[in-house]
Amino acid sequence: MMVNRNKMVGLVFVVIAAVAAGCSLDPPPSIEPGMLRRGIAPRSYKMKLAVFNMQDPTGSGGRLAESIAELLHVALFETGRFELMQRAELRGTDPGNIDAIRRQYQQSLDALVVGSITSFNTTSKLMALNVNVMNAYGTTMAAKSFQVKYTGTINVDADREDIKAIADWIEQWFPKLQSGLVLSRSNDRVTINLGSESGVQRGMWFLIASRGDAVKDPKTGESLGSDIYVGEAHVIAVNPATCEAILVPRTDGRTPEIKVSDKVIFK
Amino acid sequence: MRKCYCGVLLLVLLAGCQAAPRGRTVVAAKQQEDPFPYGKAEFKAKEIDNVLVLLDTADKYRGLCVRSWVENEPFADVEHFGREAKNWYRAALEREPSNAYACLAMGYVDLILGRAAGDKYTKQNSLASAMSRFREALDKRPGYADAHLFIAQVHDLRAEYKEAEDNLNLILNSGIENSQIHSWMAYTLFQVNKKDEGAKHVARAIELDDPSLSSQWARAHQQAFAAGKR
Repeated sequence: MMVNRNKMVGLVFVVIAAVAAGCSLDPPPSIEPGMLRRGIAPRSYKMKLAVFNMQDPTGSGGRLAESIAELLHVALFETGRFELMQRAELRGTDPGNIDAIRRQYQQSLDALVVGSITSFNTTSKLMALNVNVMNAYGTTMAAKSFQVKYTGTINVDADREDIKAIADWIEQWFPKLQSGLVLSRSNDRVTINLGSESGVQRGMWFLIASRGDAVKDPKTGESLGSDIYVGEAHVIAVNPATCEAILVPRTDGRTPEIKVSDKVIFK
Repeated sequence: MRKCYCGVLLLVLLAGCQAAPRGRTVVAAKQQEDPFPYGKAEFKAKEIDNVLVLLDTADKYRGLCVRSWVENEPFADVEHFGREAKNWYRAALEREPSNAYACLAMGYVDLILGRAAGDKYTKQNSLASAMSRFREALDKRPGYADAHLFIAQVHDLRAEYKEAEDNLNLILNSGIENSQIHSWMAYTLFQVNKKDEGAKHVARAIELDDPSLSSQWARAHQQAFAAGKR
């Protein structure tokens, strides 16, 4: 009887063990986390421009070469579309040596506004002014000739409304574009899903932000994390639906860590 | 006489165990991979200013810690590499206090120590420390999906399945998924006897196959969920 009882107890233990084994599950592996991509400090969040003194090959403009640049600087600032470099530093620069200037400011500017006074009509008090917007790598992004009224004979002043029209033209040429995505990356080149059909032009700058590693607020559906800017690039070739851009090296010398489907925000 | 020999032998063994530094049993291969000789790491970390270098070194030690655990090395080895990794993460945090990754990675080392520890108290302490590190990482970087995933893992290991499920749902409902998230969700659901739902996550973990270790787990345990379905 005693033996039978022991057998019964043993059997119960075996059954319990078998049931427990069937119910238990080893926890899954805990995979090592990947390092967060390091952000960059963008040079600017809006397109950063510098307005240089106009060239005056006619030699008759006098202080107009500088005053047009001052007026244009203010008018561009007033559009709210651009970030502008202080004029104080640019006053002494020689507009005839624009390539050297461009290289000097390549790390801090997105684009330069340069121009030249090509003719004066003293009867109608009109001057012809060629305006050129080029990106920091020398790509001409926009160019147009304007007629600007002026007043005075010795102390000449450009008409503010005409200068404002130039600023408006630059603003319209660079509308704020929708955001896009990185489609592919190869070394220092990236292809993104926006092209000429979306308003992309050669020479434009954009920021690349990492996304997808932050959870969303269950109530509002808004991402709880903020974008981390991981790269900056400028467009070198434009197709109707896509464009190719070249990445700017990071200040610490490392290659920007860009991934497919990263968010692209045009300046 | 025999008793005397036994006593001496016991004393010699005990003395050997106490005198040996932790990590004494580390296999030669791992010693070669050790970025710095034993005992030098903390000293070196103080000399380095570059946070990326500190994090890289910390990650190497963390890798050795995980490998020691996976390869069933003695807990002393796991602990040794874990401690070194944490020293380097700590040095990185001193230089860059806002670094959420360093915080998360320290928590991850504690999570591994918690999983590897044999005794209950070390396990509990390590998991508690891991949890506070993950919460700190979330303070530094709100919405950090990895932090929510590891918080869910700590809850699971403490048998707090409701909290684990909430954290995993938060990630999955944000459109973030991989095999690891689905395999932990499957595990959580299995524990609360929702094997049918768990089976779907197992299938998704296998389908995504990234990271592959998680999908391997899902494949290995597919049968347990299928049994539940029947």
